[in-house]
Amino acid sequence: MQKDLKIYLYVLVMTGVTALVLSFLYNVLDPIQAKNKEDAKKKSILSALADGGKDLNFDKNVKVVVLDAQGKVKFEQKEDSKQEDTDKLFVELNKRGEGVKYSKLIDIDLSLEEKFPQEQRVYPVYVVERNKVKTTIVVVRGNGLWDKIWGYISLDNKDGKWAVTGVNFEHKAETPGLGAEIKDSKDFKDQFKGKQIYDNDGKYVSVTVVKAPKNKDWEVKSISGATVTSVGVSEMMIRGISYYLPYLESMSPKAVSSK
Amino acid sequence: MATETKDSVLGKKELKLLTDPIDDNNPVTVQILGVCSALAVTSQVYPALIMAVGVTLVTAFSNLVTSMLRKTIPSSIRMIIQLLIVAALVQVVEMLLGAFAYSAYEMLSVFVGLIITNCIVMGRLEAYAMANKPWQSFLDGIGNGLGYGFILIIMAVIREITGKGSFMGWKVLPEWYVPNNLMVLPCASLFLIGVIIWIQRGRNRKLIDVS
Repeated sequence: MQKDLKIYLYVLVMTGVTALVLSFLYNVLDPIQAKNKEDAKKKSILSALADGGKDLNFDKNVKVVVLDAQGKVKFEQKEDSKQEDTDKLFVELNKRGEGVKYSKLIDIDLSLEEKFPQEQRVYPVYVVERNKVKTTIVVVRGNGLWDKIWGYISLDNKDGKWAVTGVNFEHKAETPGLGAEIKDSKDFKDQFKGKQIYDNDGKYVSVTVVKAPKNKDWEVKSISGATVTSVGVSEMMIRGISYYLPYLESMSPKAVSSK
Repeated sequence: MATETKDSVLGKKELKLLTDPIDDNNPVTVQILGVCSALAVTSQVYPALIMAVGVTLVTAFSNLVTSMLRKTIPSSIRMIIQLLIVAALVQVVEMLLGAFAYSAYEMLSVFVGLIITNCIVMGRLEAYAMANKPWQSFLDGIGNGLGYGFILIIMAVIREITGKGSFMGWKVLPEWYVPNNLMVLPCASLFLIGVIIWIQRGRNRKLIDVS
């Protein structure tokens, strides 16, 4: 009995001490990690631009637009946007539960939105403005071979036609050298530049990833040896951009009717 | 055993603790421990380097803490206590990486957490730290971490150069070299470890017929 008591006490004290040390360190280090995470995300978004957006300052050059599940504008960040405006949005979004707590516009993420049913989700759009030229960056998210993949697609409107100017893909656990090439291979990502997301009749086609591209306007070549990931990217491009279509079309009514 | 001999801060015996695991008693190629992570994180040099540092820190400090507590730990729950120490340290390493080496943290993702299952860590705790003094145990941990890291880095250098034509992310091989995708797959590290063991045993006569 005495011996058991000693064991219980030992475990209790050890766990207590460990918990104290860990929670102290967590409190010190977590804000730094959160900041790193945010910076990495901002950098990743800007990397979708054709030139990598290295000269841009996210907080200055990028305005965030939030779309609802129907693709209508729910919130638009403006030069004179006040904290109260965004706070109102966050109160509404945080009400949905699932432990989602937004406090900044950059927090809005499809990985969290996935927790909600389709009709409750919101979709962020990043509008980059430099030298009076606007580029729209949308976010897509889908499945790779092992885990989630996601990407930022920058789109430009030329003469009423939406075309991809650049992409940046990310993944959680794709195989290095194969599936991970969607992120690592510049050649793969460069293929998307200049691709159109509408065909000549104005029908939405997105950019698809196929083994042997026939149509150079909206098809790119897949990564050999990474079929599942390539198919995943293709599916993600079709479904992911489609959520944004009402917004894109409202920005450029000619997109559909143009030849 | 080792506790009975006289101690010094960094005498012959202590140096041997550091150097032995690099060759004669290498945890990966001689003890065949920690192979799973050696297969997984060696496709590029940078994550392998960070992993080596992480494992070295965890083995060193878990050896140190376990050795300090070794006389108080009730033997019936010693494994649980060891696990607690290792798990806490792994968590600390993960938080430090997230705060100060974020890109490595992202690259290694799940493997940092898996340090806890790295057999080298528990192996050293049971085999060494439970029976030896803190300072010696600490050195033993560092030595084993270095021995593990040494193999990891050899493999990562070979795999990154042949598999990607680069070193630490920098292109080092000319354009005409077609990267050999096989080398970045986990199976390549399996036969690479085999080749390393083969070369090591060919060179180091002491290792022949020990197993």
